[in-house]
Amino acid sequence: MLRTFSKIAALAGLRVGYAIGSAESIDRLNRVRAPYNVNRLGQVAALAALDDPAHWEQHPAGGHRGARVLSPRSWRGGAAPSRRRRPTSFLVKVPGATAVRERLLRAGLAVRDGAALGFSDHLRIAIGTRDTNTRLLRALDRQ
Amino acid sequence: MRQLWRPVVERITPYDAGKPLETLKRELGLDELIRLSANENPLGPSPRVVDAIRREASAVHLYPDGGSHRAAGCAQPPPPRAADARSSSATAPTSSSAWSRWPPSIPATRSWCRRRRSSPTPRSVTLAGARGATEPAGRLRDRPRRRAGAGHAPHQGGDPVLATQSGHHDHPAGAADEVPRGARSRSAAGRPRRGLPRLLRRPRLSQRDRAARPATRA
Repeated sequence: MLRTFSKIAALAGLRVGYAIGSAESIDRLNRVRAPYNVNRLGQVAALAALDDPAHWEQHPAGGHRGARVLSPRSWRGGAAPSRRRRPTSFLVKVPGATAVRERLLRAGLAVRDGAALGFSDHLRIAIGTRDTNTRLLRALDRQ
Repeated sequence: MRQLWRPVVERITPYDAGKPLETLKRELGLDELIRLSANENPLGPSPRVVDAIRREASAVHLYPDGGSHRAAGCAQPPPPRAADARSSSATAPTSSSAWSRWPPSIPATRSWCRRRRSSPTPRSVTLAGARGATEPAGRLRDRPRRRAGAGHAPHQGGDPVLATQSGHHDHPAGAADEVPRGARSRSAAGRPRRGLPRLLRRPRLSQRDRAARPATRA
C-alpha cells in the first residue's frame, strides 16, 4: 500500500510518502530505492504532521464543509465519489472539457484537463476552500 | 547517445507538470489564479510542520537518516501477540492481526510512535525476517540494523546518529559510512587510526554488541 503526505498532510512540496507491505516487498524496495530518498525536512515535517490530528480533521477530505459544497450533486452528470473514501479531487465529466478548462483559466480558476490523464471530456478538480469551491461552481454554471 | 541509453527510454513520455502558477498568472494577465488543478491542500501546512522545518533548517548540511528510521518506527503496528510470534517469519506482520487495525487513528499513531521510539530496531529486524535481539536503548537507539544474510547490502545511508546522549547532531555527514569495518575495530583497540580519526567520531559499540552483530559487510 502506497500513501502520500502530499494531500491531507499538506506536504506536497516536500515529496514524502510511505509504503506498507510484506517484509519481502519492503526489502525489495529498500534495494532499488534511491539512497537518502526522503530528505531531512521531509522527515521532520511528516512526523510533525502526524502530530497534529486537528489539522487533518480540517481538510476537505476529512469532513470539512468545503467537501459538501462541492458534492457531485451540485453538478449534473458528475461522477459520484463513494461516501466512505472521501476524495481530495473529483474527476467530472464535462462535455468539451478542454474548452471549458480554457475559459475557467481565464476566469482565474485552474483545473486539470482529464485528457492529460487519459480521460477526455473530463476535468479533474481539486477540492478547495468553501469560497473557491463556490466560485468554481458559479463559473461552471455560467459555461 | 543512442548507445548509452536503452531504446526503451525514448518511448517514455515525460511527465508534464504544467506551468508554474506565477507564470500562468503573468501570461493570462490575472491578479489572482486559484489552482484547483494540482490536488493540493487548500489549508496549507500545519503550524507544527512549519515549526519543525524551521528547527531542522540548521541541520541541512547533514545527510538525512537514509532509512527514515524514526518515521518507520512510528509506522510499525503493535507487536504481534505471543502466538503470532511463535510462527515467526512465515507470519510476517502483514498477515498478522496487527495490520488489521491499520490505519490507526492519528492519536493512536502517536502513542505507538512514543512506545516504539525507545527501541525501534528489534522490530525492524522482525520485519526483515531475521531473529531479533535486544539492544541497549538510548545511546544507540537509532542505529540502523544491518540485515543478516543479505548478500547484496542495500544502501543503508550514513548511520544516523539522531539521538546521542547529548542530543546533538554530531554525525560526520554520512562519511562514516565509508569507513571499513576493520578500521573501526583497530582504532577502538587503541591501534593506529590510519588517518581516519575524524571519521570515527561516532558512538562506540560495546564489545558485546560487536560480537553479537553479524559481519555482513565486505
